[in-house]
Amino acid sequence: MNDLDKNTEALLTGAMVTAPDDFRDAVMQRVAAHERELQQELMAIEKAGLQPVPWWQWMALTVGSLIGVGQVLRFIFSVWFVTAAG
Amino acid sequence: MNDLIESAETRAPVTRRNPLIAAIMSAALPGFGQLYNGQVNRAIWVFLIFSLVTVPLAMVVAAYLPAPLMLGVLAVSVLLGAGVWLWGIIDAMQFARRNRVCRKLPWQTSGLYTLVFFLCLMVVLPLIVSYVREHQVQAFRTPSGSMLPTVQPGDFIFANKNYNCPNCWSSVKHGDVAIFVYPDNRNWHYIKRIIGMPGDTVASQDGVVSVNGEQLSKTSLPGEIIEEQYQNRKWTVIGGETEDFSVTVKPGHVYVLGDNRGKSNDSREFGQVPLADVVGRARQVWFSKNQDGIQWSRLGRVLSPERVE
Repeated sequence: MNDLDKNTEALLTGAMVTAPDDFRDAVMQRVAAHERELQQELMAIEKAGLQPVPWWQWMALTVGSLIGVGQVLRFIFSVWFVTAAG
Repeated sequence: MNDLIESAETRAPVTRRNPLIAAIMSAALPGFGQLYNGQVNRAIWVFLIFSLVTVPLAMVVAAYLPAPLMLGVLAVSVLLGAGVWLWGIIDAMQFARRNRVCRKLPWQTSGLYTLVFFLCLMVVLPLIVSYVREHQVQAFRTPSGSMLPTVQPGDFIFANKNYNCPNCWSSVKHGDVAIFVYPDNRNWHYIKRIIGMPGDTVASQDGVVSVNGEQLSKTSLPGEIIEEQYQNRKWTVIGGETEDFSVTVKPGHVYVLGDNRGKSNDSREFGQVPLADVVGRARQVWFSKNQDGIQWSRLGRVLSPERVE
């Protein structure tokens, strides 16, 4: 094995191309920490009095969805709506 | 840069997604639930696929496909549209269920939702519907028996609206079963057969119709049924007592007759029809119901004249 081979071997087995042992755990910990952070923030907001969806928003959603479903069905069946031809 | 992004993200308030709201919004407008979930690109694609799936199919039906395939392809377009709609509802609901906790993005406001809702539902979808019905395919119902035996009272038919215009796939020909604006009341549509084109001489003597001197009646069948033919197209009519006439069709007009010759209000009554008022060509029966109930044997019946080789 000459010097060049030794250097290449050292590079391939060295830290530059090998993930640290705790890499996966570290990433998962960061993800979990972010989730926890979000949950804690949400709980803090809920404790501070997060309002449920107000009644008028539910009403707007109900009325809007009725109009919307009607329009969507009208669109799907638009070719089939008949006009009289005597 | 990462610090900036992180600080912008952390400033956005944390909220909870509600799968029920996502599903309801998707039901109201395909793609709307995805918008609620913050998936803007997915929302645009769901809406585009839903809204455009019907148009190309209607265009293919009107322009290229033979009449017998019309009913099937339009039924497929309904199934595809409904399928995309339902998939959008389920997809939005599942995403919201899997990702309940989220940060509310700055653009997720009631004003933007309302704007998108009305723009898509009240402008975009009605425009597409109007385009398809005016220029591609429209359904008609025939209440009268003036076109017996070809079209029966209670028949629901598809008409090709890609017809009789400069860039249209098909032009007006002798023997077409045409839909036109009734000259005496422009709110009504009539359905009759094109007998005379501009410049033709249409005549009737003892119930036998002729165009440019060529008699249309070729064969008499039982029950007053007569087989008529002009050039390479043939069709059947019901003969009856009619007054003799002879007219020359004016430029830019057509002469139309009902197939039920003794019981039809047609060009013999209201005169020649401006060519510009011919708006569609009847192609296929997709439903039929009269006082005896649904006429299953009529479903899929082709209305175009038979081609003679």
